[in-house]
Amino acid sequence: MARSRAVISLAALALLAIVAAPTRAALEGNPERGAYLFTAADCVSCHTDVKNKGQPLAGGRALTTPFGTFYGPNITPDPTYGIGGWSEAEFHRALREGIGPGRTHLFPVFPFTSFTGMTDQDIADIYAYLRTRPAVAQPNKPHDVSAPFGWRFTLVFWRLLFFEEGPLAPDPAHDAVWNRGNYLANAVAHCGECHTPRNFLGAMRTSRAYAGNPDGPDGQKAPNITPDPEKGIGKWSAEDIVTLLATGQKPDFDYVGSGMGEVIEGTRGLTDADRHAIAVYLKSLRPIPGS
Amino acid sequence: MRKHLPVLGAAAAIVTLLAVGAAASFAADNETIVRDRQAAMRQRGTDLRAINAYIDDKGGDQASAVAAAKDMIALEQKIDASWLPGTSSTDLPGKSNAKPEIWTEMDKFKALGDILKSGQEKLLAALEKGDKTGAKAIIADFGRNSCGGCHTAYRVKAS
Repeated sequence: MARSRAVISLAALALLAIVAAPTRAALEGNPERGAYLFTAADCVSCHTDVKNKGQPLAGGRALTTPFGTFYGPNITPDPTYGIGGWSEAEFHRALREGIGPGRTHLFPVFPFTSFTGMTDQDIADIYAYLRTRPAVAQPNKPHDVSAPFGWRFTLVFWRLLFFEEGPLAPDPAHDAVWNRGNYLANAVAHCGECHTPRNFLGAMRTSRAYAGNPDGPDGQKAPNITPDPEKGIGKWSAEDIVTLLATGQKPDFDYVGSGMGEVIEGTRGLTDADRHAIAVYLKSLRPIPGS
Repeated sequence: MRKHLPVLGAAAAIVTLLAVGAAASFAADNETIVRDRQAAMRQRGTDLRAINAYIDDKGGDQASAVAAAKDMIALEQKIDASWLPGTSSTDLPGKSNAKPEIWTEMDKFKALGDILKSGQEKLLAALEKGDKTGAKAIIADFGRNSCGGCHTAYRVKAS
């Protein structure tokens, strides 16, 4: 009885979450700032099928996960196949809440769990930038995800359990550089989405944030990037992290590859100050052994 | 006839043993190839470190940097010859990190290697002239397009 009451209240809460409509006014975005953030967030990687010579941002890139294969959708301004028909408010809601037009619950493979931390202005800037991209009339590929993970309605409950809506509040206990690093790493570049292990429902295990994920995207291991000296990157200096983000080169002069190689294509476009902020933030994390 | 059976059986056993032994020794050979390849790659890293110590003014000297660049060029032949069938990550799981796509996309793979080779020649020339800024730009270019490009497309994440 108690359990069914709990289920009913969960369902009621979920309904409330769905019904609550966005009320904020649309912001004027700056496409140049948007381009910078878009690069930092490395949106290109998942939304462009580089391997099969796909058009930029037209989608189709396969991302294999323990739950199945997702295909990045077309985010060009094409009105039929892309997001040309989306208003700024709809785009804002997708990033802030993970809900697309028509109240479609977006799968968390789209890292709205991180993007929710972005400021209203940054989201508006990315939207403005996307409007400047060439439209490509390429239909989306349906995801190939096994039940029940492919059932969108289950996301209502998933969100209640695991989703905390942003934006990310600055932490007054830290300085501006650390806060910028925190914002870039967690809200924009969504580093934790790959470097944090996930539970059996695919949510990030925040108690082990940045301690590495043995089952990262495409079956690859994402390493521990906490300052643990043995398992993490505790022996790296902040400068080493900056060099990695700028060039892909590790302190031993190996070059990163796999998914991180794609990420570097984004982080190499950041300013040195922003790369330094990320390094400062990562160095401040609690060292976690393991992975 | 029955008398011959044990003989035949023994012969078959010997043939089987030989075949298994041969396969195992091929695998061992391939493992050696992979180990040597990985050692050569690490050596390339050590060379780059010596070169960077010179161009970043971190205790390196020009002569050592030039020697390291020459060593990198010599290593290339060794690494080039190591991309043999049977040495991919599917052939030797946990030992090799070379994606099998290398052998299905050999043209693309070799093109990435060519970027590195021409970059190394240019790097040597720049170092011989003492052109640190030029050397830095050359490393940045092949680091991104060859080293990083190849590791992104063709290396399995090891750890």
